[in-house]
Amino acid sequence: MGQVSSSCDVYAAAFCLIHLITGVPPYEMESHVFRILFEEHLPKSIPESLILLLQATTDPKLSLRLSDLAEIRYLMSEIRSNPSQVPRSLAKRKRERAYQENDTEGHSLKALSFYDLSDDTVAKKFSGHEEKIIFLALIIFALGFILFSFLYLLLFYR
Amino acid sequence: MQSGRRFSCDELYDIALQLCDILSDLHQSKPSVIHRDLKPSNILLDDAGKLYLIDFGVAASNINDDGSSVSGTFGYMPPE
Repeated sequence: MGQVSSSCDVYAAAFCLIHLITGVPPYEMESHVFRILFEEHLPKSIPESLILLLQATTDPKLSLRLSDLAEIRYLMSEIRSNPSQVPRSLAKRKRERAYQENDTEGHSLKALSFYDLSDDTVAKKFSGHEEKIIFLALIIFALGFILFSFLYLLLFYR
Repeated sequence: MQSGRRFSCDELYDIALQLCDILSDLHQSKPSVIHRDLKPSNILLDDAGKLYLIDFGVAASNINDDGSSVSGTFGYMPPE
């Protein structure tokens, strides 16, 4: 929080460009865990390579964000001259990000299943315990009833 | 630049490349300047397609700034 670096300007500049092509300001777009989902607003004519470049420059993680302006400039001119070809560094970045996202999702899934399992076993244990308690209570109640009636009979018919 | 119309892809490349040039000049100057409040209303575009950056009100001139104050416009501001 609160780190100031040149990548802040890169992020803002990228969102300015996104605002310009979509016509929708970024604060009106939906977001998911700090990532603003601008892709759905982009017109169809935008080549995939440009979308990848915009994604790379607006990565919410500072360590993953592309912030070298010389590189961005180079990639931008590459994309301009040949929009259909995805530059290699961008493709690599996409793979890395996909890997990271899958990884975190996998973890959360594992955590979820672990939680479910433990919750289930706890529930089973609890239900077993409860059955025992009910059984014991019934036996005690029955014994008490028999004892009470025995005493009553003894007192009454004496 | 805040005219409300959509820009085409070709226009976008022009703007993007100029923005890259301006920002890299700013960041490489000594001391380096970080704008910190980039948004379409702070970017002027003249009839010849030339770009001007304005409003350096919250610009930081030092990268080692502790950055304790949050500045910028919501939506154009990176999460950190």
